[in-house]
Amino acid sequence: MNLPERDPVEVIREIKQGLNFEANCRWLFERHYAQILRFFRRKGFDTEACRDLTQDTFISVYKGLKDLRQEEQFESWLFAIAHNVWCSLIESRTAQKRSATVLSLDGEDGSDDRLPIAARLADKRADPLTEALEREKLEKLREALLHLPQQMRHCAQLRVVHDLSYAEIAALMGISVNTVKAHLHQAQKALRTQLSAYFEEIIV
Amino acid sequence: MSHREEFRAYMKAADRTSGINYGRHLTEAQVIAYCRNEMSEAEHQAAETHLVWCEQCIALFRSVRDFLEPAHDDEQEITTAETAEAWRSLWPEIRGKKTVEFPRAREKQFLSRATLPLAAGLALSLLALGWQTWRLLSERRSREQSQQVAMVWESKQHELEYRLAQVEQNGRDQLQQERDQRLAAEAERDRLQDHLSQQSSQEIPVFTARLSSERGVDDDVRVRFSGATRAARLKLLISKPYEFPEYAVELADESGRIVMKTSSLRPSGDDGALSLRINRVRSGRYKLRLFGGKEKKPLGEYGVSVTQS
Repeated sequence: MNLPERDPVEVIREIKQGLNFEANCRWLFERHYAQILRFFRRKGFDTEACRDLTQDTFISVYKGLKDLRQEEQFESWLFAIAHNVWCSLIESRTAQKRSATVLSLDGEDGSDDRLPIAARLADKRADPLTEALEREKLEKLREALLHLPQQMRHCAQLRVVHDLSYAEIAALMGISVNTVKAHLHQAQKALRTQLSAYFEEIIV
Repeated sequence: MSHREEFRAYMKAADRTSGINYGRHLTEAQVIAYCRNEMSEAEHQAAETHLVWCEQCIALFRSVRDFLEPAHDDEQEITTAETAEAWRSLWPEIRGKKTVEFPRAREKQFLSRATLPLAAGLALSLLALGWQTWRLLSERRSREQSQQVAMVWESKQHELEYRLAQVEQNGRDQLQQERDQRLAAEAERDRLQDHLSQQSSQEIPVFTARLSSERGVDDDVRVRFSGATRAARLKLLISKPYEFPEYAVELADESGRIVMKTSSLRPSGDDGALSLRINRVRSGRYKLRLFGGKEKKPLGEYGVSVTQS
């Protein structure tokens, strides 16, 4: 989209002053509409929902613009609004499904099998022997991770713990996807060597 | 729990029970700055370490990435028409349903604030317009009056010019008349002079009339000699002819060229007459100038009676 070259900070200030209100609001909208719509599309919503969420976001933007102190931080603020709109929707949908079983991202689904290890270790009902074995496994894993180079360790953690894609890891670490793959391969190899006695399968 | 899930659970536990302080959660602005690589090296390192550990901030990072990432090739394009349509749908929400209040309030405020200056501006404009109109009318009136005065003066000028032309004409006529009279007088004089010359050629002394009536501008006396004149007797018509022991005479032609100079002329007789010999002087009119003493002092008012022989 070919928008006239303008300073967004100046446009926001004019909107706050009520100057050229429609033209300035439209300029801001056209500048960020695709970005916000794409954001919601990437969150997996259908087209209609994306449009509604984008519209809600912009209404919130124009409502709250008068309270924006630092116009230079507009993009962060816009993101925060879009993110909040998304979170609000997720929360409302979660509330609607409250009667159904909820699987948390941490796997805290109520069953003992899916409890985090740390939580289970703190569980008074755990078997002392099992507890000792798990402590040992955990300690060995921590040692093995500490032996990995930092970047490699971070790649492994992001992949295993947070389930990030190669591209996401690459973006977060600021390295190429191929480097991520190489790090993960090396990490898997090193961990398997050191922890084969404790874990039957190590997939990084 | 599968082996893979078990390993994942241990990895999480290793993370959480490591005892390392990974610091506070990152803000949206910090994550955006992290993604844009706008942090210092130390800040970036600290943020990376925190992100690796913090599931909440990882979720934020993913959202920021979804927000900042440009369109991928496999993503559906968002057209200008779609954007314009979305704006047409949004604008009534903002404007018509009073969703956003502050610009309206500002506009009202702007209107109320603008009313007074506008009214003042309008009043000033009207005032300026009125003043301009009055000035134009005054100018027009003044111009008309000036034109009338100019016409009056012009007619007066014409009248004066006419009168001046009449006076000039009269003067010219009078001058012409005088010139004719003078020419006639000169012709008569020449005739008489010729007559005198003829008589003098017969050795008959002729006593001319006093010539002081023809006194020139340079204290001179206009005299006329015929070709036969050889001598002249000058009789000074002054109160004290013996005031100077001697006199000098200069004779100049019409162009002012001196044709004869004579000095040491001593008065003689009762009337103090001066005898002047005239040689090689052609007939014609001459200016005769008389000076007193060797110093050649001008005599001022004087008269000369010339007798030619």
